Amino acid sequence: MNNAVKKIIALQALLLVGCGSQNLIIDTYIPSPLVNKNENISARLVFDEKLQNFIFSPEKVQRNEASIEINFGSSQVKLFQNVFSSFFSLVDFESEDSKSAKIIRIDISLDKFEYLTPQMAANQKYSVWFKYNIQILDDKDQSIDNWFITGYGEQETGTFQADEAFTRAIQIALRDTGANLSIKTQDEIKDIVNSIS
Amino acid sequence: MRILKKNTFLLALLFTVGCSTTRVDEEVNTAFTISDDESIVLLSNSYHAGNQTELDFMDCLNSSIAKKQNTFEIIPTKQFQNLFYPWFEPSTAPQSIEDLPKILNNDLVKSKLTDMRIKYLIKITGETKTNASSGALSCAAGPGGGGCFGFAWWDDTSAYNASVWDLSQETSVGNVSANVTGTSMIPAIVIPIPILARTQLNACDGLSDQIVGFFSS
Repeated sequence: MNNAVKKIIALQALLLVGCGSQNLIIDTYIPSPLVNKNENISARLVFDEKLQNFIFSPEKVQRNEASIEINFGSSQVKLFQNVFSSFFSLVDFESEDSKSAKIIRIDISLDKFEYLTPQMAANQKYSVWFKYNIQILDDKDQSIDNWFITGYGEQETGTFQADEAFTRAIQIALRDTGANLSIKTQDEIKDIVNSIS
Repeated sequence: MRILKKNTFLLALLFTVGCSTTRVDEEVNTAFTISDDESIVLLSNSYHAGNQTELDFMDCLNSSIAKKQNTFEIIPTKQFQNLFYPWFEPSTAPQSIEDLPKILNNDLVKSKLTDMRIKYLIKITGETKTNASSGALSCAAGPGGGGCFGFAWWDDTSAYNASVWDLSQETSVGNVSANVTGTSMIPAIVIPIPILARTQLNACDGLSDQIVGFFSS
């Protein structure tokens, strides 16, 4: 193979990168919220099956758009465990603690996950939205409260690679979800305590 | 020959930094003091409110202020946000001085601020924008090699403002600002030579000087 052919192959390989696929693996750090823990109430978290080890891939890939697969792993479960464990003692289904007098059940499901790429929005940033449904129930499975918690994150592409910018936008949105959830729980915790007392 | 090479290198270095103009401003509202065991923290206004202060600008400002003085402590923005999560996140942090009492009414936040001796919160707003661009630059590559030809230029403006809030008094004690404009260009005859006006870097330098000067006065 002469040098000219080698150069052409190298140039073609370079151009083909733009049409590849994006495979993102999400892992994020959410700090422990600075809130008061209620030692008198235990909480049992119940996650929607779809939310555990959620892998997202769009049903329709737009024209000229790279296919995307986002593996959330346990990042969403960890987020909710981290936030709620700062307010309540978390218990399992079978544990002895779960038989204590004051216990609530928190059902968590992902209602919406949406995003915009720079290609879709004709700008230079990735934008990500999460919307979760959180149902709070007492020990007799009676509804105490029903919340919709959202999180939004955006990241300019700037000096980042496309994958890195998208991953950062998702991490920011998850962190924002945690912040909004913490503040909502803080605001509502008195009512929750009163309703099960 | 060696002198010629050295001169050429120096000339090239001179030309690769474009021209920029810096304008700084300061306004003091009330008297204030800071001692060496007290801290400040920088926080940018939220993108939820339309502000687009870049993360790398905040990093630059944090490290620049830390290097330029030893009168007070500066707590890095990310570290502060992690310690006070979720109260100073983009969607939850106070956006104006009127929002401050709501956060400071929280006993946990108030006592942690006191324990860490964080006296001033500096809110940063602003961004770097490209105002105008013109020219044309085209590059081509073939089996025999490649190259670029043309001339392109653009004007950047980096405008940033820092509002200093006293957390114990819940008041704004003053403002400083840096406004840097500059023109960058890329002439290309086979090889493109970028001549960049580093407006954001100059704004970071100018604003950090202003903030350090503000607390030294």
